[in-house]
Amino acid sequence: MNEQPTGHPLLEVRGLKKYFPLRSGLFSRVSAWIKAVDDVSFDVYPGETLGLVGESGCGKTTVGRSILRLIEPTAGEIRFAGMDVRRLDSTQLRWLRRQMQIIFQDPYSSLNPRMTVGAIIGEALYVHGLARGQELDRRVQELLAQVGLSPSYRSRYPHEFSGGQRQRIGIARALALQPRFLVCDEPVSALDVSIQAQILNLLQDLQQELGLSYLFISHDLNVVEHIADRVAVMYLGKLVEMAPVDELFRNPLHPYTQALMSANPVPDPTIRTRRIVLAGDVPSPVQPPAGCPFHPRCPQVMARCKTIAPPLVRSGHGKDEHVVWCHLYGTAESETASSPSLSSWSSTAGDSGAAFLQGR
Amino acid sequence: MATGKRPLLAVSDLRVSFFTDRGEAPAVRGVSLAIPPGQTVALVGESGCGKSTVALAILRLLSDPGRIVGGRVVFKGQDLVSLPEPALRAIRGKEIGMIFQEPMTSLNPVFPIGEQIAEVLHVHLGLPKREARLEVLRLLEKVGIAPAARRIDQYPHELSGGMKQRVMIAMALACQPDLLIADEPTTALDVTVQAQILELLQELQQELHMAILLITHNLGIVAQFAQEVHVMYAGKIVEHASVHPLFQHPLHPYTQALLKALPRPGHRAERLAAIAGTVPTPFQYPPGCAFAPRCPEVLAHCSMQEPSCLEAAPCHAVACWLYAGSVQR
Repeated sequence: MNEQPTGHPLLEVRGLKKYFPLRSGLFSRVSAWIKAVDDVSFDVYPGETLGLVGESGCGKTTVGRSILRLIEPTAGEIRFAGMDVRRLDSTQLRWLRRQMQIIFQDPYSSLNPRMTVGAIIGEALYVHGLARGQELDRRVQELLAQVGLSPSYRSRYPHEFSGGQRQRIGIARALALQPRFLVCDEPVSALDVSIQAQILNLLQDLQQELGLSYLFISHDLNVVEHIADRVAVMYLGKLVEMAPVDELFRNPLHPYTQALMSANPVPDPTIRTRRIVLAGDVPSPVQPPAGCPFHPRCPQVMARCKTIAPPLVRSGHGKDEHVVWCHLYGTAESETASSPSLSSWSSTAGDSGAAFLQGR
Repeated sequence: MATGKRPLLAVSDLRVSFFTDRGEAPAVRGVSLAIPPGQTVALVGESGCGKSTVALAILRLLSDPGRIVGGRVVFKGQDLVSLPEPALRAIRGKEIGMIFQEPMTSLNPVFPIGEQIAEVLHVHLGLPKREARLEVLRLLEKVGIAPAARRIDQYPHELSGGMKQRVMIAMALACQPDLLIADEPTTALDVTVQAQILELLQELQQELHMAILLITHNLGIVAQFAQEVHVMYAGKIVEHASVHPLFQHPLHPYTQALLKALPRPGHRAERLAAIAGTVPTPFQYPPGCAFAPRCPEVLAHCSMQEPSCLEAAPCHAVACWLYAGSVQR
């Protein structure tokens, strides 16, 4: 929300891949690979919120967890504050854990029911040796107050709280180590509308107060439009489009982004959106379609979409960059942009991760 | 609400309680609503407000410890609450179809989908096996399951969530019901699949001239698909109007707050107006108006006496003391 000058990114992700083995048969041999995340690149700048949007199974959660190394990526580069996250030794990894934290979707299963709220929030401080005894208790009370809960709640157990209150506890736990970066994985999806607004406001207040950066993972376009500064759209393990939030919602370029937006029911009966109803389901990430992964469902599919991976087409720079991976807006490097209205666009062909790096 | 036509379904003063070890929990506390033929009426509210309990009570599908403790559910002139079980079974699934939120748990995992749909046709219409199979193929095609000839013998686990919900719709519509009760029909689905399912329901509704009771927490779906809306809070209907007045001039402070709490396209810069506190549970409803402790416009006697639901504007009913003076009788 706060407009900061374009500086260096806090987090840089390049060519991130995560393949899960699919085992079958007598000796559990690997029979195939699920390409949950396949060559994803993006930046998160200090103090900003990058929204990561997509439908279930598109790999957005895997991206979030790979960045934190809660799961080990198969390939790719992750740089946090200039440090290569994938090559840290155990001491450095402990440092990293203090810098990056995560808030989970389900406030019911992400809190240990046998621990008091105080123990849940204070655990990380204790483990990292940052506070003990009275100092620890004082910090826990501070954190509870910071997320809008009474400090007296620290001796209670999670089952005594509602979903919204539990999500506040999860946020307090994430803030305990004073991180600079939070992965928010569907933090309001399990909450009712009235509670969702409380949590979104809290996340925005904390961002302003503490200068936090968020990777905000969600399937809810209305929520993402509200909270994000920039938005990346994922489909079947790949990014299809990324742009500043106003630009993306005003001028969505990728046919999938357009369909996603048109399918989103607007809570206003006077606005009747023309729904682009997509045929079929999301294909299996075990055998993703050749060429553009979206081509079997794309209403504007062309011959080359079925065989050739879509090029990366970009305009603008840094935080203002609007990138789209689609044959409609550019072809191979030798050809010019296909649409005259997009003549200002430069097009870059080939492997998206490499192209991304070349362009910088 | 005066709609001229006789309603297909009229629920009046429906009361449902759950009798638990902790005492009686009045989940539905006097709900009245009418569904005209061929229309979509939405029942909207947050989790725990009792909206799903209303759906189950209409069909008398409540399981222990839930019981209907009062009210009438009149469908085509018959009170379903007092109807003997065999007569009710003939209506359920035949004249009133139903689809639920979880297509994953509503289908029997050990039977092919075709057999499950055929069973409905066999039980209600007495179709013999071969004819039923042909009808199932026709139904599967109608709900967009292709190729029907191959899918008919597949088991639920072989289908995606969207496909399972299509099977549920095929089953619910097998006997061409006059009323479809859809309880969060798309909540477990992705937005693009949700759009497909809602589109399909709308098409089938027009074709079969079927009324829909749409139960949802999603105000976007309500705005786009319903003609009339009932807003529920703590077991009661707090506001009832046609979709346009409800979204443009909501009267009840709860409806107003709910709409303001929603992130809306184009209002990005505005801070969301959160509703303080949490939804009360049936064990501890506040006295008077249940919304009073969270209400920004609370009056002194709101927490003492319950307001009744009255027409504050033509065809716009609200249960709130703020409008007690302007009631048109």
